[in-house]
Amino acid sequence: MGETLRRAPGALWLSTSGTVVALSPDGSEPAVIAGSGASLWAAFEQPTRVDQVLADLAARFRVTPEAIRPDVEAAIEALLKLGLLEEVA
Amino acid sequence: MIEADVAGVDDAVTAAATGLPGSSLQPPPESLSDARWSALVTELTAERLTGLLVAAVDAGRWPATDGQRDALLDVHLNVLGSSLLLERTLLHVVGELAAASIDVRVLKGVAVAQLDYPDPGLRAFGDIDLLVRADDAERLEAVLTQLGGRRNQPAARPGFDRRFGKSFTYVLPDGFEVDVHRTFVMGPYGLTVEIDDLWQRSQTFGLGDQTLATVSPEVRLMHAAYGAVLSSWPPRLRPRRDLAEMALHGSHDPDRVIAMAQSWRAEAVLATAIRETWQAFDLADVTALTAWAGRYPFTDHDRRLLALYRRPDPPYSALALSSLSALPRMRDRAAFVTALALPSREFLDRRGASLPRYLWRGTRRALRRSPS
Repeated sequence: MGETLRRAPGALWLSTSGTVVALSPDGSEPAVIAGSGASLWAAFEQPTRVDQVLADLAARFRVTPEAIRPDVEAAIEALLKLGLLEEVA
Repeated sequence: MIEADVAGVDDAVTAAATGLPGSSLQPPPESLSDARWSALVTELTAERLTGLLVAAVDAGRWPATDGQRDALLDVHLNVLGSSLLLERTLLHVVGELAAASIDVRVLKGVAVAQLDYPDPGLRAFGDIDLLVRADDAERLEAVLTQLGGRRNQPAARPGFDRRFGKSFTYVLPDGFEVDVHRTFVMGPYGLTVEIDDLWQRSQTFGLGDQTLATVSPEVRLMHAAYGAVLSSWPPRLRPRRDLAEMALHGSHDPDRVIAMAQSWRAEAVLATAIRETWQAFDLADVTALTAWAGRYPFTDHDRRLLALYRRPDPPYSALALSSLSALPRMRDRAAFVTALALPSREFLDRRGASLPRYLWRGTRRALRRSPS
């Protein structure tokens, strides 16, 4: 996962209590992004490389990037599938 | 249950005051009973202010059990989800209107949440409010109809909305309502709003990847004041909370707001809104607006006009009769009276009334309300 990702242009979102509610441009249902997923959403405010996000989150939670890689990759996969993140060409 | 409901209203005012500097309303010392908590959340949900309670609980300013906090967060996440769906509909509608070269301003909830609150997640909304120029109203209706919208109430007569109406509502296929405003309130206070002031200055905000326009901070504050005083009886909590937020933290110019109130002949509305809002939230902070409101000398005419609105279900006929004094030209008065005396058949059908019955009801109400 060395690619650069960003929030889908046109995605709408609001946050409360450390939780994000987001709606992709084509989504029919808002998605609730809680816990570390909300940190991930914040990390992609600007187009960012995935390995950079991994490194930043690892430093923040004081773990190694490898320790969180499976969870982060799964969360990114889910956000891509929901149309909330997209790859920057 | 009635006790819990009443407590819900009082608790909602206290919860809404959290985050307002200078309020001496105190949250309860310990978590509420579940019945009282449930009444509070119900009240705040109706006012679309659950975000304020979430923030207060998170900050440790409002005690709650874990179960109460989790349930509140669930409610608020649902509320925010609905707000997002509304925002998307708004973007679609505004995009279609822009394609038809129809200029609009976003009013109330969406704009207020984005521009006047420190975090848009604090203030939810339940419909879409747009300001449109009278000359564009017919074309706007055509666009909304093309989008599958259905007008929920026909105009009293063709052209009535354009000249005298406050707003009309379209229901879109997704169930969301679009309120299209020409002015802020029906009756005399609506007819003295200087429509050009609403359009003179605007402010923009970003939503998704688009930029939307709304009215100036001064007009938003005046709109909140109208909502706090004239829109419903008893007054709703939400416009008061909006007004407090704007008056304490907003980017308005108080001199400009006061000048606007004077030229709209709505000083009594602004002064009442400020005074009652400060009283409701027990606010201590003195601002240029509160100082002015405290000094404003109410006249008998002010009291009579305010009393027309400040009752449950204000009679349309009494508001209509009082509107005549706000119309300076005889030609406008004649058109206004004709529209109300001889409404279109569609208008009557939708109200389930025949013309004689409509006239009798209006006359009876007007006579009952006329000063002896």
